Amino acid sequence: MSYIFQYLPPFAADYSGVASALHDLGGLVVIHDASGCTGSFTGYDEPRWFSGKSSVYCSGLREFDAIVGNDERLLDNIRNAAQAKDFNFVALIGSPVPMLVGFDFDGFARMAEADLGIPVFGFPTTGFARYEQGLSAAFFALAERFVEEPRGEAHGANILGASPLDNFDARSVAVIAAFLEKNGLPVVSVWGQGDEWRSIPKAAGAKLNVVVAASALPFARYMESRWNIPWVAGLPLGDETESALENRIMRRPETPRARIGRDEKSATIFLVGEQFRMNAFREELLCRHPRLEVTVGSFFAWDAAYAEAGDCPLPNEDEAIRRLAEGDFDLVVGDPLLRELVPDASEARFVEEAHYGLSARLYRDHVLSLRFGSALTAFLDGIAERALFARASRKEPVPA
Amino acid sequence: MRAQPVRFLSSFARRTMPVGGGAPEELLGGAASSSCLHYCAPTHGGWGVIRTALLVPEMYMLFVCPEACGRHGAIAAIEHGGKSRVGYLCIEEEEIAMGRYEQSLRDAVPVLLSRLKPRPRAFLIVVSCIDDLLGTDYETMLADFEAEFRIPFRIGRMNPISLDAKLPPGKRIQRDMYDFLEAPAARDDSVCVLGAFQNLDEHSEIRELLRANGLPSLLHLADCANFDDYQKLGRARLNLVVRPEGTEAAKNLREKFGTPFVFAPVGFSESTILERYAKIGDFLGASLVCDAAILRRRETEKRVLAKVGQKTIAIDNTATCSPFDLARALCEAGFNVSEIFTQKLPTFDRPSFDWLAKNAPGVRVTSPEHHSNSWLRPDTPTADIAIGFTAAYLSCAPCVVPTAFDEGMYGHHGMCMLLDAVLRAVEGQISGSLEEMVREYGLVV
Repeated sequence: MSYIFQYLPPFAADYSGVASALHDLGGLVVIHDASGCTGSFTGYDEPRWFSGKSSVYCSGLREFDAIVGNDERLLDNIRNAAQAKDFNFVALIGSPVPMLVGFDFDGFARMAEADLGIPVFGFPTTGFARYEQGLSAAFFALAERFVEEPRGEAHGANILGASPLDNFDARSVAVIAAFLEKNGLPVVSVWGQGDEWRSIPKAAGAKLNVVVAASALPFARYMESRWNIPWVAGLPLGDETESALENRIMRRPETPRARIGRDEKSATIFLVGEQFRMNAFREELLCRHPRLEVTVGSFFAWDAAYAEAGDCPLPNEDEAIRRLAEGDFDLVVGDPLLRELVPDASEARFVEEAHYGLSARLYRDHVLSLRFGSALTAFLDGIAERALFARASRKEPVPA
Repeated sequence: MRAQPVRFLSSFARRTMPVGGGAPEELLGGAASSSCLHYCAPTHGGWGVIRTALLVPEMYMLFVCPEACGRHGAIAAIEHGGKSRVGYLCIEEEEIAMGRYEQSLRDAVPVLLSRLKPRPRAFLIVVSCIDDLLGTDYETMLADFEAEFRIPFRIGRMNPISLDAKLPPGKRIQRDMYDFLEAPAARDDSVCVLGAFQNLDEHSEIRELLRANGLPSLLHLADCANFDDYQKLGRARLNLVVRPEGTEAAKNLREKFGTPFVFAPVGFSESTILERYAKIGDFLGASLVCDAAILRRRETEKRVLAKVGQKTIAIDNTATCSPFDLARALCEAGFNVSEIFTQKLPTFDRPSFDWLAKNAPGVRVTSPEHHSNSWLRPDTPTADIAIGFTAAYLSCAPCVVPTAFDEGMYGHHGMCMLLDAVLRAVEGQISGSLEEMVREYGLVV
């Protein structure tokens, strides 16, 4: 069923997810559209575009092409570009119009590959799905095509899901890589951004996959079933989450969180954003402030196995409005654009934590590298302080 | 795969050539554009459908499209403070497949109108590319909505798939925006400026020239505070179209209300401006003399040239709709134009292209959308000064003149405005990185 966005912008689309995942890998990436979809990606969803030299293009689809199926022109244009530079692969990414006219992406990819002599992918994305599905599709396609069967003893780890659309920047990836190195796991490959093309084929030789965002969970499961690579999920932002992830990596039992009775809860907080990032915030928050009641919600990739009681996916704006109203939280943490959905979004009851997949270029300084170590501690202590203050100001019991 | 009825010769699409060095069709126009993959520089964009339509005060826009199609416009609306007047009905694949698309819209509009405070005075339903292929008939629905809600409803289109058609989105949205005007009860002594995104500068000589001929008031949509003000635009005695985006609106208003229009796009060279004023003068039945403005312009040219000297200048077609005429004007004044970034050669700019081919054949013309721009963008500057964001990005020029879409510029005073902006850039008075400038301007895809 259709749904209305009255306050929020529509979210980053599946084609942006594919293009984002392929951005750094030296491919010729073509979004098959008229210009708006490519413009959405390059102008809004891709923070690396301004300074980068990646080859992501618009096919320049026009009404005539869509109606008569003028695929030969598309192939001609791809051929011209592909002959001008050495590309590692070609990817053709779908948008709403090709979906509507039934463009055969697989067929085109086969034809183009035979013509060009380099690997060609066809991604039948439609613009009706969100970026996490595009990320996932790109990971699967790359793995099926380029990852080589492992030789020798497994070593190191892959980082799965480090997408700029989930706020990962190069510095945050470096911090995670250093953490893994410290735990005896040199990074084999990074999926989501910034990896060298030559490391992707080696991914199956890793001893472990570390999933840093929920969008990469299906891919981790795929790698487990195909190459028997175990995986752990988590984001090592601070002492608590580092320790938890170390335990998972070392297969040590995790210490269950102390249970606090409802009447002992000091304040309620709703964290809205990428599921694993918000889970990590919660872990760190509860370690320092165990009497808080923290729930998590997300518009994007969601896995019930990583949800706690009260956590919920938010399929659209109306559902978010309903959840925020019913929850009556003392404090909401989320993208600044969510303010409009919160019944009382005063400074005291709302903390901004932008999400690139939601608000794009509007808040570009909100990157994950600002959420590690002491910066994280200050951020979370601020959240706790505000939540407790909001609770005290309201002078009401925690809602049952 | 479907049938392949037409085969284009794509190998002739070029990235760059000297203006005097070949047929412009190899680089400029629809055939060249369709013959290469399109590179979208980070400076790609303009006012877009959404920012343009938001100029109509008290109007609400509902985009009806797949979620993805609404994203760039929504972010842009937030950047420009207009999100409270824009909503999205995100349709799903199965609604299209099952033919429930129209019913979803019929269901959503009442829901949305019940939520909107204050209630809009006009309602524009904007559909996307896929609607071009679905062929939805909105006539009955709009009539039903108008009867129920007592405000005018129109259909707009954000459909870049029709960019090479007779009615591309940029022209179409302006036509649809002015379609909310009601038939005027009487005319007044005003001229309405169409096509541009803001009114012409208050010091432009065109104002004095019109005033001297009994037309003291120069109106523009952007100056309208509310929907009632907007309705006054319909009373204009003349519509002056200063950018090509306004032509379809002007034709529509001539057809509906009999309002005449003059198409006199922004120009920069003395001969082009003379020609534009002659055209306006023909309508007024008068000769538009602007000797004082010409003198001021020549003084400005000398003053700025003394500071700028022979620094190389790159120009693009986002700065102005007449980049070839701007290049010509600069060359005639003694400046050193090195490159023009554009993929279009509109008919009204062709005489200046021809002038450059004859008198400055070494000026390069470069397509900003050619695929090789992604890897050929230089690391060191290829021009000293860039007029326009795309020229700045693709030339890496250290001095950037952040002029866009002719805003406010017209006639000889417009040339002075531009030269003063060049001087400010050269003297370092324009600060910030290109990325910051682009962000501040808020280009809309």
